[in-house]
Amino acid sequence: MQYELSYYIDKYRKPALVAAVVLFIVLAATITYYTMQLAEQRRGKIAVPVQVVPHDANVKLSTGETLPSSGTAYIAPGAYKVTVSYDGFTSQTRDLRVSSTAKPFIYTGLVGKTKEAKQWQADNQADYSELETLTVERAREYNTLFKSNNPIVNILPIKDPYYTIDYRNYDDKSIELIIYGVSPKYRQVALDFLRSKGYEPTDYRISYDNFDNPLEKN
Amino acid sequence: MYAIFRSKITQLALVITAASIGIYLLWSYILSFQTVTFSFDSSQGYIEITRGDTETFYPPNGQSIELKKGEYRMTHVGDSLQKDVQNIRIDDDTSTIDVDFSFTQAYLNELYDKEKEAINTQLTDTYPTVTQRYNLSEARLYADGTIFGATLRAKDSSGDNSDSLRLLMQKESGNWRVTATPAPVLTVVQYPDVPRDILLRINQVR
Repeated sequence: MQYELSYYIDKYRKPALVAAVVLFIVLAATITYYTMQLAEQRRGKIAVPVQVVPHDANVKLSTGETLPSSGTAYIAPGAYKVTVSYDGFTSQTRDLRVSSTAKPFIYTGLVGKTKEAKQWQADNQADYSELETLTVERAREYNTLFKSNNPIVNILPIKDPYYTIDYRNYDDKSIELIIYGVSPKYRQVALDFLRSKGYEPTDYRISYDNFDNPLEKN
Repeated sequence: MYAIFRSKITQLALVITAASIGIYLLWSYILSFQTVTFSFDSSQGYIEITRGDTETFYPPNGQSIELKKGEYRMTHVGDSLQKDVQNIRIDDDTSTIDVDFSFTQAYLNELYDKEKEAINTQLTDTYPTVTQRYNLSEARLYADGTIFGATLRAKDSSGDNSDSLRLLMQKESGNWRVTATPAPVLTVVQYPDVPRDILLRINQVR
C-alpha cells in the first residue's frame, strides 16, 4: 500500500511540531548552560595566546595545569613558570607573568636534540619562521602598549649639564624614574621639569642617583 | 481566519513564548537590583545617596540595602566633616562600599594640637637625629585625621644631601608610625593606600 508524501506530512505534523519545539527549548537551554559554564570558568582569567613548535608539544604551567599547544589559554593572574617539552627536543622553561596590564603570550619553538628531531626541525623551518613573525609582532605590540601606558618615556632620557632623568622598566610594564642632580637644587629642578612637561612625579616610582638620604641611615 | 491559533501546538508554543518573556522580564527586574553595604564611622557622620532629583537614601552603617544598579551621588554629612560629593556606580561587582570621611580643616587643626606630641615623639623615636638636621614645616593632618604630612627642611642647606624631604605618618590602632622613609617626593607607589590628592598636597605641588 502506497501513500503520498503529503499523507505522512499531514499524519505526523503535530508530533513533529512538538518535537521541534522541545528540541528548540532543549537546544537553547544547553547553549545557555554551556555559555554560562564557559564564562564562569574564564571569569577573572586572562587570555594568553599559545603557539608552539612542534605543534603537538606539551605545554605545562608550574601549577601542573596543561595548556593547549595552540590557540588561547585562560590563566588566572599571577607569576608562573611555563615548560614546553617534546620527545627528542630540548625542553624550555620560562617565566610567565599574567596580569591585565601585561600582554602575556607563549610562543616557543623547541630545538631538536636527537638526529630525527634535528631533521624534523630542518624540514619544518616555515613553522619556526611563522613563530618568529608572531613573536616580533607581539614585541611591537608590547612596545606600543608600553609607550601608551608610560607616555613619559617618549620624552626620556633628559640630559642636562646639571641633572639627568632616565628610567628603567619592569616586567609588569611599570617604570622607575632615575633622577640624577649635581645638588639638591638640581634634583628639585629635575622634578619641576617633569611637572612642566605635564608628568607628575608623585605618580612614579623614583630613585635618586647621587642622593644619600640622611634618614635612610637611621 | 486565525485557525492556526486554534491548533494546540500553536497555543502551546505561544504559552511557552509568553512564559519565557515573562520569566525574562521578571528575572531582569530582579537582577536590576544589587545588595550593597555601606561601611563608615557613624560616630563621625552619615551618608546621603541620591539618584536624580527624586530618590534619596540614608543607608545605615554596615546594613545591607537593595539599590537599583546605576549611578548615584554620595554626600558625606556631619558637623566636622568636609562636604564631599562623589559619584558612585552600583553594578554586579559592588558589594561593600567603604566610605572614608574627611574632616574640615578647622577640625583637623584642633585634632593636630592634640596629636602633636605623640607625632613628634614617634618621629624622633624613628629618626633620632631628625630635629638636629631638619625643621618641620607645613605640618598638618589630612582626611579623617589619621594621616599626618609635613616637609622636613634641612637646617644646613649647603650639604650635598640637604634636599627637603616630604614626611607622611599614619595612625593605626591608635599609634602613629612613619610608613616609609621621607623622600623628596612621596609617590603613589610608596603609599598605595593614601589618596593621591593628599600626596600631592604634602608634596607641595603648586
